[in-house]
Amino acid sequence: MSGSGGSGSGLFGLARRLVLGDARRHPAAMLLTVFGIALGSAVVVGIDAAVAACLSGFERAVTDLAGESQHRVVARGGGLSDDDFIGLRLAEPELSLTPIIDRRALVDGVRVRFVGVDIFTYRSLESIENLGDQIEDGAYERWQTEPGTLLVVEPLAASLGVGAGDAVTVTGSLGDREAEIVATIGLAPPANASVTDLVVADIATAQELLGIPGTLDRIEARFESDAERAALVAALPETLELATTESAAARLEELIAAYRMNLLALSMMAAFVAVFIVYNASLVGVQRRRDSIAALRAVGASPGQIARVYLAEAAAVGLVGGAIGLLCGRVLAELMVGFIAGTINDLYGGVTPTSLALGWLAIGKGMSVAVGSALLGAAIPILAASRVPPVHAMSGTITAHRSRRWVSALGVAGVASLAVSLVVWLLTERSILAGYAIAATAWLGFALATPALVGLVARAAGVLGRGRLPLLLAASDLRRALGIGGIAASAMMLAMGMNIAIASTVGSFRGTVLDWLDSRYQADLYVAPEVAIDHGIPAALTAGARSAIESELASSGGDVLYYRNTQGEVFDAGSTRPVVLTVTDLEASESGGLIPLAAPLVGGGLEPGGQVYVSQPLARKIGVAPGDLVRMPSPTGVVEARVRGVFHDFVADRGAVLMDFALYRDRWADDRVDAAHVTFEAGTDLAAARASWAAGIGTEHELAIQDHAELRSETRRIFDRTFRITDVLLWLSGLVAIAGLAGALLALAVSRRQEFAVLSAVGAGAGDLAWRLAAEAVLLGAAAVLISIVAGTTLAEILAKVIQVRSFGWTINTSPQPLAWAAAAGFALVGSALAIVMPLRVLSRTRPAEALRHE
Amino acid sequence: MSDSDPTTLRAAGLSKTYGRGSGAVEALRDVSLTLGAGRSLVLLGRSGSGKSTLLNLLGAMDTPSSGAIEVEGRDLAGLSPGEQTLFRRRRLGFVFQSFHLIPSLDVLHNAAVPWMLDGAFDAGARESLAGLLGRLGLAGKLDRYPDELSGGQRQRVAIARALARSPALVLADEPTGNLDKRTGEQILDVLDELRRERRFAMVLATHDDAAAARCDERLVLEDGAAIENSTLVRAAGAAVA
Amino acid sequence: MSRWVCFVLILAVSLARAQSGLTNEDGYLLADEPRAWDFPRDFGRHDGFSIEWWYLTGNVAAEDGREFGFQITFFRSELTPRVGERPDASGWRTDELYFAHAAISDLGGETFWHDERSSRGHPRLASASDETMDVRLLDWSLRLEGDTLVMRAGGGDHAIDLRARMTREPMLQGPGGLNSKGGDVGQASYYYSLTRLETSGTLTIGGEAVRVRGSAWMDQEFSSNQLADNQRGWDWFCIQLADGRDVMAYQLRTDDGSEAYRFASVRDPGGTVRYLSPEQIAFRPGSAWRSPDTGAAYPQSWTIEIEGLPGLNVRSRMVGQELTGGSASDIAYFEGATEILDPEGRRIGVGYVEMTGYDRSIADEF
Repeated sequence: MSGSGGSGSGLFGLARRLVLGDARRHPAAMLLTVFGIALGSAVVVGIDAAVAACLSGFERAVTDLAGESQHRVVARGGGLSDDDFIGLRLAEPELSLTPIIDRRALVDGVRVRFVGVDIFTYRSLESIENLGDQIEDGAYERWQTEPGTLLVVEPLAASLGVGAGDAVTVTGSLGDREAEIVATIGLAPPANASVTDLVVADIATAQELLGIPGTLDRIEARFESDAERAALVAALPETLELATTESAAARLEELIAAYRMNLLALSMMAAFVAVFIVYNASLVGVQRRRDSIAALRAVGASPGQIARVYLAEAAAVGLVGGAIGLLCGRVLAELMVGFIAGTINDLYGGVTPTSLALGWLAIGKGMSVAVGSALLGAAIPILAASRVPPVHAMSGTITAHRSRRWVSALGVAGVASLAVSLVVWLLTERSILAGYAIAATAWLGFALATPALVGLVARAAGVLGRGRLPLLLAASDLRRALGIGGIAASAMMLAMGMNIAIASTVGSFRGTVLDWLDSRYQADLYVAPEVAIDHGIPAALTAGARSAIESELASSGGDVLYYRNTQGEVFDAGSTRPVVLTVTDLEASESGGLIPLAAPLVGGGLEPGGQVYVSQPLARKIGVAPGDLVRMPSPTGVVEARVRGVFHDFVADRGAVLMDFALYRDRWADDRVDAAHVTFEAGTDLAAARASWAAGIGTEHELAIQDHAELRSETRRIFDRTFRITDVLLWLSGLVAIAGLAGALLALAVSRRQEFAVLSAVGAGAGDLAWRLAAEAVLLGAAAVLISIVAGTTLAEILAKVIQVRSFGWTINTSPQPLAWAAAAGFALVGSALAIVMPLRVLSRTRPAEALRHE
Repeated sequence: MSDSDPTTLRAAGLSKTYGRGSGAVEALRDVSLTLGAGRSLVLLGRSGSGKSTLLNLLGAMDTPSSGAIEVEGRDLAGLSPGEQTLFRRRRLGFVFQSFHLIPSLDVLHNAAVPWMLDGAFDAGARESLAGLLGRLGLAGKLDRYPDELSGGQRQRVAIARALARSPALVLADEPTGNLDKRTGEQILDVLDELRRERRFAMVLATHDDAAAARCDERLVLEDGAAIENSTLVRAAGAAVA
Repeated sequence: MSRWVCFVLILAVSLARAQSGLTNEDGYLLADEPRAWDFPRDFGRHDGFSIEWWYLTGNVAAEDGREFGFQITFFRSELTPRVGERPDASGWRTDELYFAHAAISDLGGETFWHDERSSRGHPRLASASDETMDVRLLDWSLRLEGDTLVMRAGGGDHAIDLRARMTREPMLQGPGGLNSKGGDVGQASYYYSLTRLETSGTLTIGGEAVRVRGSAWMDQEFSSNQLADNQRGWDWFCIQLADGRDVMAYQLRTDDGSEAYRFASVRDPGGTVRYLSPEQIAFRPGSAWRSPDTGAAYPQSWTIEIEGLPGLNVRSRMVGQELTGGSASDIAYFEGATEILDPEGRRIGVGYVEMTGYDRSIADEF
């Protein structure tokens, strides 16, 4: 081993030998460090890769579904006509414009998405572009030229039980028409999974079958440059306007912003865990290597050389940890992909994650986190130790001598940071960026102030602990060693506080949503087509079902309120924004569970034809208040409606518009309903009623019948699944708490070896040492838990009252979450118990004589 | 020993005070000494008499409150902290009571640290160091780690490290304090033999009379002051002659 | 780009199937016997054939001597055979697809511009008259006013705005205008040419309007299946010799690179037309220019030997006269202005060359 080999003649050789020698002598300590680093980089890499895979899968699904086209021409008043398109096409022949018909229709009684295209100008649907390759010779041309010919996607053909050559009945606005399926088409994945109800016809066929000759639903435009966009806008007649919808990617960002925030917190927490574990390990390592450092200094190593040698060691350990982290990250990503995709699927449907790949960027990121956290964690103890004058190094006292002073300085900085946070909160109202600044400064403030606060807690404990030796000693030990204990407490506080904050936010969110659910949905039974509830396929209540419901109520007594939920759009500064259109009997709804936030307009009656409610997120996003106008494209032109009120809503984070059936039927030319909310007369046996409805009209008309409790538990299930990822946060924070306590106590114990040796020499047994350590651990843990409850609750308040409001537009009523507090306390307790084991082993192995010799 | 030996170490009027004001402690008071190349000086005195303080000053690990130290004619006070570090590395050797070996380095590399710090541990240095370790009876143990060695062996490694760069001055602080009598004597034998051969000056702090008897000169400290100092007598004699 | 994709797709299926029979199994009409021509009616569209085109090429010069070549082509494709009228509740109902190409070769400036248009058939978007020459596709058009063809095409800062006056009778490219492309019945087209069109008007090049005059050549051709499966592409030449003779010659190449079929026609100034059989014609390609876009290597000079004519050395005036859609599935072809030299190297005429199937076979498309 010592033999030949010219390498390693200098400082690097020394570093290399020190690392290998150290790994040999203290494998457990080295493993702990490597583990910490690997954990940090694995979580960062794993989450990154998993999110990337899910997002790209989701983006593809959205693109296939909605098309890339982001620009559409709509009519200002009245429907869009063939002539509108032809005029534009002739005026701007070089632009890419295509006429589209896109509406719902019944094919053999099943509701489908019926799209009419001019295949010669249509280029949005990538998966449709190569149709010609999928379809037999002849069928494709027949589809383009022969009336009554359709293409259907394979899943729909399967559910209809039809194939190429079969006749179907298309029900449009002029009644039933015969049509022929000329071919079934398989879409490219992942659209094949999510697009299950699509019928595509030539635009001529679509107009004929739906009975709307001369009518278009929209003109899609694609621009290669801003000049092209400007050219189209210039060519638009008065009657038309260009609406630019958000890109699919932008919509996606909005949809999963909340999710992203959780994951970001998780990544940061992981990196933080890594830094902290390394910091602790370095502290212990430096204490342990005091002899080596002293000897190196005595034989003429400069502070810079010592720092370089040990930082090189840290970097090397970082590289090893990073490499392991990458492997673990890959595995973690596999696990998380299912997790994340499952949640997105629950919320938004059809996602097939794209294949996982660790790109160079991810590898670079993981390795940077690893090496960075190793260097960061090691830097402070190493730099401090390397600067100790040789004479002190020889006498064996390497501890932070001036810890008191900087602990106070940090405390002052922390209070200042909290003050900044408060000022920004008071001065800003809408800025999301400022919202994050408020959270960040508050958080930083608590982190900085924690060592000083631990000092205060220790002082208080010292006062309380008069006469009880272990507590007294622990309190004074803690106060003397705030440099180690304070930072450990700060780390634990951050971890547990973050957990409390997120648990509180999620818990409050859930409580708010369920409260809202209870007051918004006060009906006894909720009736909707089975296919809609079970398969998420939009479907309307048939006329038969409606009359069955009404005749049932006529005999049993009670009321029914119908609902129609569909996709719509509102104009927002020149572009349109997708929203949920909820249609009902507004008057009945106002006397029911609708919760207006702002006072409804007074006077002037309901004016059902012209007034709508908008949801709180939408009101915030497009900046409207009661009395303002909202403008919505409809099949009969742009509808301008006055905002009657703003209502609480958590269903549609994009925003929702609530309107009366009168307005909707008039302008959207649609009189379907897709849900019935039934309220029985007081005194009805609800369980019996539910059972008899389910067995009766439920079976007969294929209706799903849910009662309030089912609705509630379903909501709760979706909610919990969405936030299941926060469980990972809980465990990570627990890990930090335990690692923090263990590391801090180990460092404290090693630095006080002599003191313990003295105690041991004068007759203190291992039990006494254990008591003292336990007292110290409990004290430290308790201080951290107390501070983290305050900090976490504050952060939760900021998340609910600032971040949620500013980014999603809804308010959440916060409530204390004792369960989260208890979890933090539990982790601290377990951490304390585990944390005394290692220090105790170290101390019990130290022979008093050897330790005393350093005195 | 001849009076014409060049002077390696010269200290004049060394004092060291720790703390300030009423709490000040005078650890060393007006100590002077001089030592020629290849000669040895024993430093005697009870615990707290100032031996360690004097060794720290001589080893450029601490600076005197007043007085001057010259090693090979260079004034240590005139050196910057960085130069002091280099000076320790290249011209001084330390041997400590508790060895102060680096636990994670093997025998060869513990001894090679002064070379490695300069990035100069080449084949030549390796060969001469291996030879030195062989002389110290460690020939077969170059790849052992400190915790696999006996106390005497550890101290031999420390001696090899101290002599690795052929220092002008070796400072030994109770080198036999942690060793049994026989091992201690062997260590002292080796040190004497090498000193004569390599002609370095050596200052030895010890309580051990046998060890003291081996040395050319004596300096006895009490409460920080020299109560016996043969080096000055000799120097004075030389001046008279 | 995807217009091209559509075009290729549609042609691929609609034309490859047109194999045999007087009307083929898909119901398209075949060019199978000499035709009684009736102008101006036959300048118009011909229903029942799967593909038809009006193809104009010409060599023109500005007053300052700058020389240009130009091309305007309108294609009409019947997606399904037109049989009588169909109910058309929707204005979009159609069985036609139109597309058009235009190009300008700035022979001095060595720049080549080309653009395209396409649309489904629609009375206001894309149509061709069945009474006279009147083809319109969005903002591009070709129509007959008296004895003059009026054409317009353009895009961006380029445009072709020319009038071309007929000076000679239509030249039928085969007995009764039936132009055979091989041995099989129906493997032929109906084909006539208008030569020596006295052309004048404006070319706009990079925003600069240049008054030009010169001579153009128009082909109208309609058919339902021209190429056999093994026919990979063609080399087509129109030549207007200074001595007053008009020459049209082409060869159809096969997959293995050998020539499968040759045809030439020569009209002397007196109006007499000779049709030459394959063994009376020889084509020898010279060195090629390789397109950086498609990798196709197009010969840039040809020696054409036609019985009864001196050897004709045809030289492309400029490399780079290649029309591409830019996508892998698109057809790329070379359509370029040429000059004709005698064996001594003197210019004895001008013309145009069209070379197809050099990047891949286009038999499926035609």
